[in-house]
Order: sequence, then C-alpha cells, then structure tokens
Amino acid sequence: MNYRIVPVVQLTGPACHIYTIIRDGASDTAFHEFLQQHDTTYYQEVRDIVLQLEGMGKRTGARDYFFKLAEGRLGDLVAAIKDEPGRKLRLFCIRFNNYVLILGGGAPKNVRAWENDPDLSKVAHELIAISEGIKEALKNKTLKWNEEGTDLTGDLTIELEDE
Amino acid sequence: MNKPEEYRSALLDRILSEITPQERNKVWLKMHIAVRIADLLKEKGLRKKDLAEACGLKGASMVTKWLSGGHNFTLDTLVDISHAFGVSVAELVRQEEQKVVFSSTVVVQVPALSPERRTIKMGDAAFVGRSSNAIGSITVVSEPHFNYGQQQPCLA
Repeated sequence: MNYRIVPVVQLTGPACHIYTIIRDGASDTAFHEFLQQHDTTYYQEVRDIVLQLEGMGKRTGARDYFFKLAEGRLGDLVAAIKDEPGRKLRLFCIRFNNYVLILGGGAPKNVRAWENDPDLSKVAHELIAISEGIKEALKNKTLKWNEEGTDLTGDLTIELEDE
Repeated sequence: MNKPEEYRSALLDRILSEITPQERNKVWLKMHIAVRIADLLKEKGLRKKDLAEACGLKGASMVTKWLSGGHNFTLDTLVDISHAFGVSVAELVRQEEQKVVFSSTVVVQVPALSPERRTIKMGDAAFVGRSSNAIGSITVVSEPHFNYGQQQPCLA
C-alpha cells in the first residue's frame, strides 16, 4: 500500500507545516474522512480540534505538551491531541517536532486504551506503519528535512509492504 | 524535489468559515497561555511540580492540564500563576510583540481641542493643527494582544 503525504493548506502556517495522508486509490485524505465521519455527531469537538490545529499551524507550533505522546509502540512518533475532560473524539497524528505534523484519522474513544477499540486500533496501527515508512524514507534519503529542520522535502510518497 | 500535491478539503473550508472570531480567540488564547507557562517554566528553571506548589496545588497534574492548550483558566488561576512566576497577568497573557495595524474603526476623543468625537481609521495618519482640528500627526497602531482573528491584520 502506498500513501502520499499532502499539505493541509488551510491549517498550515508559519509556525507549523500540517500534512495529512492519502491512501493510494482513495479520493479523500485521512483527515477529511475524519471530519466527514464525525462532523455531525461530534460537531463541537471537531471544531475545537480544527481550531487547535489551526492555532498550531499559524501561532504556536505543534508543542509536545499539546499531545499525548508515544501513543503507538515505544519510539514511534504517533501521538494524539490531548482532549479535555468529557471529550470523546481522538485524532491521531505523527508529530516530528514543533514544525511538522502529519494528521491521520481518529474515532471516539470509549475505552481506556486505544488498543481495546477496533476503530482506534486500526487508525493507530496504520499511522504507526506510516511513521515507520517515513523513518525508512528519511534513512534512505528519498525524503529529507530542509536545512532548518522545519519541513520535509523530497518524495512524499511512502511505500509500505502489504501485511 | 517533488512539489507537494495540493489537496483542499471543502469540508474543512466550511468548518473554518463557520468558526466565529470569538471562538478562535478563546481557543488560541488558551493555547498561547499554555506556551507562555511552558516558556516561563524553562526560563525560570522550574519544574511543573514547583509551579504547582507555588500555586498551592499538591501535584503537577493540574499544571499538565494547563499546558494541554485547552484549559479554561479562571482569573484566580491566572493571578496565582503570574505571582508564582513574578510577572503580571498582562505579561502572562501577552502575545509576541508584533506591530500590526488593523483596518477597523476606532473613535478618538480630543477634548482639549474639540468637544466632538472624531472618528478615524486605524492606520490612518491624521493631522490636526492648532486650530480646532489640529493636534499633530498620529498613526493608530494596535498590538493584537487579544485580537486573534478578529480582523484581518496587515503587517506594518
């Protein structure tokens, strides 16, 4: 399965480059699908998440304390935006540093650990695999950091072996 | 180098267009305060636990919540935090200095020269001489401390 990393132009700003992923053959990005799936049921939570992401892109950057880090396996870059008490919706992403964030999908969290929720587990495992693919691409130098370490350049297609 | 593929979600456009400036201000100000607290902790060489204790709290978990970027601070909490850091509340919530001129309308009153209220636009340079309509050249400049997204700023 191949994935392409595409910028989310409406959220990206001087403080952080915000990307999402699109699967080969899919017409919409993972983040668009997330919005589409939850915009009606979790209207306010979706707006809050969008505003937080816009704030990160345009003002604050993707500060580590805005995220629950290491949501996937130890050492991967998968994180979730911190939620306020009473919030259900969880959005997973790959956070490299303050300047680069890749949005994946998400779902309501009704269990203590995402591993126990099939929807969240599916999204998290997909992002864990993509983050591994990105690390491999960086190692192979098909994907690179810009000079300042604030953006990714090069081939933004990530190839993953089908399991 | 491959140029990143452009993708624009119409749904995201719609959601963003429905968000009011007040909503944006509220969320971004919470995020900004979180960043200020984190920066001040670093600057002062303090741990979250130290700040919690200075604010009369037992553990650091509340400070972690403050740093989440979504915490709705009460004025009392802001006062406690500012005291702990030895800064004013205004300094705590102050956003980075950025000279911005807004294109909104303000009302300036010049009682010594004229009893009537004069309306000028921010960014306008008004000249008022010694007569009833002259005090000198002024340019109205606003620093956008609480003005996230309220108007379209033009960088001066």
